[in-house]
Amino acid sequence: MRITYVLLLLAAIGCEYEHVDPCETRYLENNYLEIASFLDSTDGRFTMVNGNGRVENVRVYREIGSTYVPGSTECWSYRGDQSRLVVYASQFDFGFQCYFSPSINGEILLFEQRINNGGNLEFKYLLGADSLLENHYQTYSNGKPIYVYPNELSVEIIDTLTTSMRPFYGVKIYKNSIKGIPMIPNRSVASLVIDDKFGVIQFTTKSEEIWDVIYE
Amino acid sequence: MNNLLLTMLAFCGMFHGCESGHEIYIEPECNTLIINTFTHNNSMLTNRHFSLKNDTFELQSSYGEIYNYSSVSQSSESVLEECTETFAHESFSYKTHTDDLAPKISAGLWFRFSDTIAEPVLSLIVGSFLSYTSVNGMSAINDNSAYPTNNKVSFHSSLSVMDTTYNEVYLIEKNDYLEKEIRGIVYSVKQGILGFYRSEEIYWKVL
Repeated sequence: MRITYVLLLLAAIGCEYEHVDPCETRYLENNYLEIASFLDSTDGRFTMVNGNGRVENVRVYREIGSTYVPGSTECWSYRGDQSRLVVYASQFDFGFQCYFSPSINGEILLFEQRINNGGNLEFKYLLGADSLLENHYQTYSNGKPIYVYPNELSVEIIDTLTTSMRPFYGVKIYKNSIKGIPMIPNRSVASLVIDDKFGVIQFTTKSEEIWDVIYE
Repeated sequence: MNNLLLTMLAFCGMFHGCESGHEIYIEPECNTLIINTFTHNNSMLTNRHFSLKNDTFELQSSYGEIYNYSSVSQSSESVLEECTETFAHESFSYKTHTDDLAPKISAGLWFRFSDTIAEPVLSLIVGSFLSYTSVNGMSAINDNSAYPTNNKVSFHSSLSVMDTTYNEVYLIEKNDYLEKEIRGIVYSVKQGILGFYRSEEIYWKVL
């Protein structure tokens, strides 16, 4: 009885006991976890070459981490492994990243490019269902956020794509319709080619510079 | 009686165990006495980087690509230490912005202090090339503890580089450059950065 009083008293003054979650945890599958698995976070210095033959240093690395997805409609907690692939060229202060992240509805590709004038280009694509979830460019004007929504993001499978590295087969190209939008800077990524083994193998900027990433 | 004791203990715990304590630091009042103010030589302030004017320019690569830049030039004055007899000194910063996928460019003019001796320093960043130059005598500073470098600076009354002949310029070069890094910067005291190169064939010129 005394213990009960103490418990009630402690609860009343806000010092709660350790929270016990009544929901179990389900693990979400991740079919894209092996993308770029030959990379690690410390050994990712490669080159990229543009259509004029100019070769530049680029750093490509990936990180793996767990992510929790709260279940809102049923009493389950979800957990899955998320991989993050980063492409960065320090001499240009240019970079972007792709997350392959599990969700209750399937795996999501989240593309993010932060651009040095404060802009942020981002799209979310539900990989298994081939469905676009989000696509926008955000910037600021007089301290207020401004959003621009490109009309279309198309995804196609290319049977054979030969880059400066080698031929690739059955790769996916994500093409974002940003070309006609003046607010979006030229250095924004307009298309992205992803191979299931290597990850990002080619990208094209809005100004139509094509860069091949060479993993050698 | 025991219940009363437990209640008292719980309330004591509430006030002592659950509290996160913060000590309040009160800044002592002080007066800063400026005994000298260091300013930069006017000859350095005529070029585009330190003229305090916003600017736009184009950069052309040896591949024929043309990139557009805009820039902001700012100055500030700061003191070496607060609450003591000290020195004020002015700094200039020059930052560029490009929407294109082109090398980043920035510059700075500031002072480094050794005891009471103030040495004006020019810093240039182009791509991954970082350089510090002593404005007195225009020689390379390579002993910056946070960012050590290995550069050299030479003056040329006439310099043929990047398919162009430049007059009255300084060449700031890396001694230990790596492949695909910027190796040299052509700098004019009057005009600022005129161009930079990686090799004889690969370069970028300010138009």
